[in-house]
Amino acid sequence: MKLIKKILKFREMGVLIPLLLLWLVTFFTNHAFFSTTNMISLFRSISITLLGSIGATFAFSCGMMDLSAGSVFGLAGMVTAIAMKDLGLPVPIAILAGLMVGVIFGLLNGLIINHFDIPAFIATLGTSYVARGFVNVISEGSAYTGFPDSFNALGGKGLFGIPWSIIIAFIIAFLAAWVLKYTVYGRSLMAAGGNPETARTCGINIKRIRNVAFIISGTLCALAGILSSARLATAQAAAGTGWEMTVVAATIIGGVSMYGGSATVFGAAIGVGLMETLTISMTMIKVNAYWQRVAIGIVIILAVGIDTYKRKKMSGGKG
Amino acid sequence: MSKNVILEMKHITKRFPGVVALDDVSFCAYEGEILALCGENGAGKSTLMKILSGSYPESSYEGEIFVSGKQCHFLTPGQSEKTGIGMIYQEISMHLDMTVAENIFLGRWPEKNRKIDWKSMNREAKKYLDLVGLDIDTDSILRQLGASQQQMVSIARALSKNPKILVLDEPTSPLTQKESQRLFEILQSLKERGISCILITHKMDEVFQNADRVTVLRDGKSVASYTIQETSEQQIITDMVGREIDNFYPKEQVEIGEVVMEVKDLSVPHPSIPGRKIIDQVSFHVHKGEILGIAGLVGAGRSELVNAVFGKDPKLSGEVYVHGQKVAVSSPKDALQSGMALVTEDRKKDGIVGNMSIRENLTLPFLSHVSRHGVLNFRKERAITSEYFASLNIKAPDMETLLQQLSGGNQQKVVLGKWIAREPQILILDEPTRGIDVGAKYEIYKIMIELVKKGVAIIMISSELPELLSMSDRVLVISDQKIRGTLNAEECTQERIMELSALSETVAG
Repeated sequence: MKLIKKILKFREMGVLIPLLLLWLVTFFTNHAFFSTTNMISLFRSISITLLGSIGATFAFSCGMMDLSAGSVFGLAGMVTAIAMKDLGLPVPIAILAGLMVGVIFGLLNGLIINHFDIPAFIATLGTSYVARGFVNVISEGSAYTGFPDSFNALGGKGLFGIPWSIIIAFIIAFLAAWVLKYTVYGRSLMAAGGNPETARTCGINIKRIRNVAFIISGTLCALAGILSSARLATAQAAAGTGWEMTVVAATIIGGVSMYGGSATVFGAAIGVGLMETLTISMTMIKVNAYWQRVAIGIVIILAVGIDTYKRKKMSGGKG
Repeated sequence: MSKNVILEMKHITKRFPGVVALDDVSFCAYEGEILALCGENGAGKSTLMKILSGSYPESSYEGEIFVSGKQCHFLTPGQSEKTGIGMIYQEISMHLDMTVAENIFLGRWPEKNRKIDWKSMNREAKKYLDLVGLDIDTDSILRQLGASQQQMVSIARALSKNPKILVLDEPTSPLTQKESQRLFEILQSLKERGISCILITHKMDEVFQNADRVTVLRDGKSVASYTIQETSEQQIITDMVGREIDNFYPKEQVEIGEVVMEVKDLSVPHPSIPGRKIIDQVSFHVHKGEILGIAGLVGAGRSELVNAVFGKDPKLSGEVYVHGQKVAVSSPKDALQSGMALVTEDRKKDGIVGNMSIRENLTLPFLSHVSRHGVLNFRKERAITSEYFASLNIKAPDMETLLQQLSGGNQQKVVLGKWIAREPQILILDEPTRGIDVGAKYEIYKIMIELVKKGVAIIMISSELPELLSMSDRVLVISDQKIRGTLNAEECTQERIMELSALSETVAG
């Protein structure tokens, strides 16, 4: 009993229970839901969004936000494609070049926010346009296909028939959870989000903390973009358009506070799970595609509303 | 005095959780007079005026208010305003990106056909600007004006509402000497028109040059009222500070050693008025085993001084020496590395991380000591935390309790603990016992004594004079950008500190 109570008190239960219920409801309406193919497809979608959501978790944790996620996703995929196709670079080097896009844009976001004191929302909105612009400039608006097999294999199945993207996202999620909980950086990140002035007074270099958070976010978005283009065997100029909103929504649903200082990767993962399941389930139980977005919107507001309500109750009705 | 009573506040009692801010305060103001309201920091002046202005609704306090003999029931600031009470606050509260005229008529913009009538608004605004002697365009944007001009606009705004009673809370703090004079000329002319002014100030020269009567508050009580002719500066200061000092403080004599830290020619920019200094060329030092008190009125720049020493706020110039070595302090990190620690004035703002636990807060300034290669050592962290959890007598279920769930006193113990655990050589305390209960206060004094015994140098800012007098070995008094005096324990009295605090440039020569 004690164990059950402890599990139920777990912070993420508020999102985990709806997720499991949704799975059951979908299963009873359409038994194909739990088929291997469908599960793999669901988890593959989850894994790509999860990478972005982990990045967003780092940004949120220090009270920041990264709206350049979708454009960096697209630019990284395109840079990798062009490096392989037009420049004829070996696959690992091309992937590295794609990842560098994430590092550079992450650093750029951090520097702009720190040096010009611009709100993250505005700064990353700006760099998002810049990155999207670059995608169109370098691709001249066209799509790239016909990649080397070794690259396309990255989009396929890896160990024990599990797709690579799921394996990679799984490993990175564990690594990120470990960093947040067990390292000096993770603790400093939470403090910088929880109360930046206190963190600074305690000798924490907030600017560096933010820079690193944005670099992590940028790199993970780039990785997601590369894995996605490997899976589709295409790099499109429009890839990842609006993806940042999916990422932000999923992360918030997972209970990661936008005001910083309160975040778990597990929560973010459940949030992503709920978002992706909603999309797939609604298709499977034949909800009109146009209504799906309405439903997702309502879920976001409900999730955050319940979270805010709980928080207010905890701090004694204040705030 | 055959004048009519215009305002009467009777038996006002206001309680905040754990504190009685006003205890049965009564006072009155006559028609066409300037009444000075004096009192130390925290004597209850502002609370009293917030009640008068309707910021605290009638149900939140006890007592009665009469304006022109009629009882008033203020539930909102609007109602108080309608009755003829105008407020001018210490901090300028206006819309910086609106024009002068828009600010003067904020929320009461003259309308014509449901649109703002700019012509008549500017014309009317000009009238009130003339009244305060301000020669500027009514369509200048407020941000472009200097602080003193902004203050004058806020007075024009108050006048535009045709008040019977004008309350001014430290109105001269953003003003220069000349501008202050101009302000008092205006007040005199208002007086002749039958408007009463209540002037909240601790500047004695302002009281004696301008007021007709003075009412003194102390610890939430009205202790005395005089006409200006029948009193003296000395009398008022005695009334303001006349608190009993008991043997509550656990002060012990500790051997005072060599100079640990020296600050030379420190200048600090004013936080809200560009181009002005809040601290100008200040030098001081502190010894090993010494408690150095810093006194001064709120807004005198005490916190800005220590924050600049700690590298938290910017400084214009100045050098810091620790053990005779010059140290470059440009961030709190540098200060920490040279052995300083700072318990800041406002716990919530920059002392605690509310949604982190006691353990996580306590180790925040020295994470590198409880980690290896950037990985936290939870066992070591818990060991250190439980040591301080016990020795500081923190009252919480366990050390995983979140800071926001603790009482103010226990939060303060955690803040103090996180700095002590770092074993600083110089500990700066900015209002260390503000807003905490008596028991916790006593425990904090005990901790301070333990630390100086170990040879730590302590710098303590405090607005509570008994605390400052009882705990300090020396007291610096800061007023109007400078140190106005350094008092040894023997020569230090509440009256002496208050006198020095009230000094301004002109009086000091």
